[in-house]
Amino acid sequence: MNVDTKLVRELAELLSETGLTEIEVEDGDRKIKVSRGSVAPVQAFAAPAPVAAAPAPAAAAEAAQAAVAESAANAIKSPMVGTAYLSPEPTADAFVKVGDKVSAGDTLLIVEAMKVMNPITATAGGTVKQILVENGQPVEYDQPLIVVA
Amino acid sequence: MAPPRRCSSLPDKPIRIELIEQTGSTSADLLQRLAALEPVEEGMWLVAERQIAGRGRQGRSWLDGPGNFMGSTTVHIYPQDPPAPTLSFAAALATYEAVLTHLATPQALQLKWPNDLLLGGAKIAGILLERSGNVAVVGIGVNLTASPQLGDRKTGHLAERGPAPDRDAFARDLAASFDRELDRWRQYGTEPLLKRWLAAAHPLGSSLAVHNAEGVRETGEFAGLEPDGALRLRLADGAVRVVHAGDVTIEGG
Repeated sequence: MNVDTKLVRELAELLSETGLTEIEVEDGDRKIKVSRGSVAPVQAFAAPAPVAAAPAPAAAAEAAQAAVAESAANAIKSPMVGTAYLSPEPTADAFVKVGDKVSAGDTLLIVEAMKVMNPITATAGGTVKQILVENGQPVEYDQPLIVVA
Repeated sequence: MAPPRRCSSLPDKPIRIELIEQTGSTSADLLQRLAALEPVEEGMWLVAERQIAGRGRQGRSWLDGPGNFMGSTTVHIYPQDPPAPTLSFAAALATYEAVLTHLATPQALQLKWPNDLLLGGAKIAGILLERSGNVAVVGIGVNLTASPQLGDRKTGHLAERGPAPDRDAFARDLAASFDRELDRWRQYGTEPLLKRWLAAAHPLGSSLAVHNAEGVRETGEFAGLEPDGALRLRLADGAVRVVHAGDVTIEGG
């Protein structure tokens, strides 16, 4: 999809007018979230991959990458294309949640590619500020995953 | 001039098989040793007689059976190595080759993306790789003498097709073929690896279904692999879905 910059701008204006910190709109397979704060003022990402629209998720992910990368420069990024998991197995608790204190080396999430499970670990100690992906979400190379500060 | 057997920068790797009576999971054990900074060299295999908490994808368990092969080894990933996810295919080929030599019906053996081994359409081996820093722990389970009966998928074992290989002999064969595939992976990279994988896998055009982590099921035709090993699934409308992670089943197979 093409990012609707006009819509993003409108939402951003609405955001400052209303004093809200986050607005999320969903239209079919497209979801745009505009939020503000020190970490990620603008985000745009695709909803879970729709069944019929093949090229869309990749394009959306790229757009998401561009939008988030700027503001979340300190986010931990995906080392590969794959699927993100927030818990070690479907029924288990998430590795971490926003607000958790973590130490360097702690596993924050897993990215699977070709049945290789890659733990994404904290590069330094801190607090989980933001989790930028959902459980089971496809992720692109270098896509910001989580912010620890 | 013949290519060197190994990258000259790598130390020689003697194969060593460590057998343990019973454990939760041989991969978990190796990951634990790595976390404790114990030396876990390439070429070392941890093989369990019984495994009570064998692990599969998505929290599924790998059910053991006495006489079956359950073991794990490590690959140390160097900066000049091919991308780590392609190790999945090297491990798949190593297992395929080790099983092939023990099989009277080689044509019944087939790889399923990315690294399951099917015998007459029934799963006889599973592989799961787990990274820890610059090390990949490779866990391999092969049904030699027995297979669990699972409701949702066909399973099989080698003994259904003839005499089951001795577990220890099979472990040595697998360790040797894994060592060979690892050398090839390092020397020749992913392109020849994926070509050889394709030659042993479900043919192009096979009807496949892919279930992803979001619970979406898609069906289509197998349209080969991306250069990084991702599955290409041609959907009914002609679009190609590129899959990096998911459960694949062969439809009508």
